[in-house]
Amino acid sequence: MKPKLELSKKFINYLIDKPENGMGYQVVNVRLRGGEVLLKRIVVNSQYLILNESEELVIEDIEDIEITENTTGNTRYS
Amino acid sequence: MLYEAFSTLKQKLLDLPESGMGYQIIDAIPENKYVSSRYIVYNSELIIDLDSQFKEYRNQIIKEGYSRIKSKANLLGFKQFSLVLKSSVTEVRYLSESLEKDKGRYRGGKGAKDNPKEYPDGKEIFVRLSAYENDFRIDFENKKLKKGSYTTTLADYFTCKKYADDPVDRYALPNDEEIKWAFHIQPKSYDSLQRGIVQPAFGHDGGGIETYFENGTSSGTFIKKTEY
Repeated sequence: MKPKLELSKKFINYLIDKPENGMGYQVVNVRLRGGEVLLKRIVVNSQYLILNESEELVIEDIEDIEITENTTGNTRYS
Repeated sequence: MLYEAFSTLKQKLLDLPESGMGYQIIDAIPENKYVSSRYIVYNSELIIDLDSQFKEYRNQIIKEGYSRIKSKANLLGFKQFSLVLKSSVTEVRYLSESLEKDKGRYRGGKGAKDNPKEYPDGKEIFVRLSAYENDFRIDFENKKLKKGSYTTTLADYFTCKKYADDPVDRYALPNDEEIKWAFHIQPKSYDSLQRGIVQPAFGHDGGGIETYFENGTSSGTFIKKTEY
């Protein structure tokens, strides 16, 4: 199972009110406190941010989350 | 673009597992930037942007040769990076005939949002599958589905169960958590929806039915919760 980070109530409440990208998940951009932006990340149940392997991220690192509509978060590479 | 990893980065990459034979896929923020990008790294040293031009870069390596490309590539370091599982990167996939026949899945078609709106007959039941008993897209107080939420049809849910299919693959879900709950919704005849076929994503084949409720459903339409 992929590692995940439980979001704070503030972000959960924001995401609950936004559309899903598929059953049970949303695609978001995550802005970190240092100004960096993590693009097209997955949140399940509007509650858990899915982390990459070996990614060390804690809730205090997150400044803001923004929904990304009309994408599955995946790009097709051939 | 094509880059060569700084020696310190090479060492860090060598300590991480490969995504496939001879390569790693990473999400990383370059030292001079603030936004993450996805890269493929060959041999823990040659870094390539994994974007729409990836095919051109790959052809360039084949044409000019790995060593020559590496010798003229600029050096690149990252502020931070993380390994991406190969299954997180969608490849062009085609549903096999056996999955279609043996699991009752559908091939091709369009996702729900790409199809026109329709109205249910007021009797049809839809099911939202979830790993979470406290699924946040269900408004338990008003007994309804919140706006912008997905479900499948009861018929497709039964097909999934009948053929002992894997719901994570059938509905192309991003996390491999076990589906434990089924939330049953019976929308009113004026609750619009869009119906389609789950498209391949996250390394899964899809092929189940998905239904999207842009405006959610009316109060009293969430009828029961069952175990999957």
